[in-house]
Amino acid sequence: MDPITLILIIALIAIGGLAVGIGVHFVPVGGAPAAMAQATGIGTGTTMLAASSGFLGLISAGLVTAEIVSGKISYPGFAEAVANGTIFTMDKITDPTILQAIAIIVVAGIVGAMLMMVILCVMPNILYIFGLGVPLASAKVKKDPITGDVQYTYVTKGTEGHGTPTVAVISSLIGGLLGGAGGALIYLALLGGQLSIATAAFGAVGIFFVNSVLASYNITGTIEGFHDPKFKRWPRAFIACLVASFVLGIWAAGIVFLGA
Amino acid sequence: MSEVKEIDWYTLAGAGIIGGLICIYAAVILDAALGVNYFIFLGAIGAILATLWGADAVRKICKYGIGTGVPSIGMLAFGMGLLATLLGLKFGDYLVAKNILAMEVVGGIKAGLLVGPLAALVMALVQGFVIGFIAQNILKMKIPTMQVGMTMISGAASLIYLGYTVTIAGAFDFGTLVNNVINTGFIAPLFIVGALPMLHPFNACLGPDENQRRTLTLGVEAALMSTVIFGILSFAIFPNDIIGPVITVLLGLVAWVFAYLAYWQKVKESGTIILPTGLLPKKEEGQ
Repeated sequence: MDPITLILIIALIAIGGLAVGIGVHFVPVGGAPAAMAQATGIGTGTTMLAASSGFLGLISAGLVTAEIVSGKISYPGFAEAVANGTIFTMDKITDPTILQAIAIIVVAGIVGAMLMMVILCVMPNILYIFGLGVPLASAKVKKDPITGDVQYTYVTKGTEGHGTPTVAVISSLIGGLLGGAGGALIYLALLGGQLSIATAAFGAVGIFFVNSVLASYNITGTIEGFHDPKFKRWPRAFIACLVASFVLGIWAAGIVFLGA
Repeated sequence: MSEVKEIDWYTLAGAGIIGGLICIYAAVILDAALGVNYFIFLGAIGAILATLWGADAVRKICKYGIGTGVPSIGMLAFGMGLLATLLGLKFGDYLVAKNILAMEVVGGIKAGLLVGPLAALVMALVQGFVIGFIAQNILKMKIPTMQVGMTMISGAASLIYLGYTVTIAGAFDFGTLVNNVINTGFIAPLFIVGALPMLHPFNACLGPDENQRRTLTLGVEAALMSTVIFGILSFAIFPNDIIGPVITVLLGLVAWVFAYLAYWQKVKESGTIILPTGLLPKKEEGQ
């Protein structure tokens, strides 16, 4: 087994896990209070949010991978490199065609995850506005940093805001971008190590869960986005997710090494 | 209600590790020795013992409040357990492939393969220790039981994976896990339904009058329900030899009824009598 392959697998999993962990900090996680329109954000916990956006990201990344491998999208050399496990060797990874194929798979992952995030933000907003009759407002900032709209006058007394205002939607898109890219990178790293498609997908889901839960411990369950004061805690999650993903990457590299 | 002494979590860890491993090994060795698949239900019993261990560790950690809801910790445990379990089983296969420990023990099972589950458990414990260290010292969660508890739930998750893999597919080598459990898609229910009996009991029972016996009874009840589900899934792996899956499903259903009644009994013991006082009077007396 080429040592470069093992190093690249560990590095890709560490970077992917890190992206997921930081991405969670951008997602407006409201938890149960948000489901009752008593806090800003999406009304469920980090685990479920990470799972939904991660799964859709993986499905779209997997779909594009299948299209490339079956030859519908033409990137010559990629299918063979995945099949014989040489994708992460020096001459393949510097080949522009292979790099383009990797880039398009990562972009597909990003599109899937961002799509899920924006659905999760905007569809509940329609329900909040027309069903519950609450305005979208954040309690953490006085003015929306992006639109400049006044927030505090619209926050109902006794609540911490309601709905997902513009700044939180934009923040969730950044979160989806990082999460989708991270998930796709982990999936590619495991797939390149000649694990089966299902094993690569579920290994990626496992690593996704570890990083999203560690990140959500860092924000103690809820956050509004990059404008929330809790966002300043990201350096801790940076170290935590990097170390955790690195260890998981070593396990994955071990499986690849023993499989050779 | 009289105070019942709690079972120490190291005792439960011992029961989970030793009992769980014995059940998993016994299931595979007995089946191989007799050439049948009747004993796959023992894998589920191993998983239930591991579930008890994990559910108690979850309750010891989450008692302090982790801020994200109890289910997250079960997903974390199964996320970190999966790769560690795969690596441990791969290690067993590697020993056989390299002709180390390749002597045949019984019914065609090589000694190297038997190292797999043990290696998986050790890897998972190491993984849990690292994640526990991160949560405690880098994320500064200030939960005194975090470090040991995280190690324990990760080990429990690994044993639950192994136990239910034996129930579904009747073996614990890497190839069986990948071909019969992961590539068939059964890993998706294993991920969620396997984790549920570990994370659900404390999530359902938490509160000031939470007690260990009631929580763990609910854990057994939920784990038996999972056993029935995995018994049904194993029909797909043993289409021509359905006696093993039938035994698993029937035993699971019968035991589930008893566990359900036992949990109902515990709930009634913890209940209190409510006296109806009527609605508040519209006007205070004497005004």
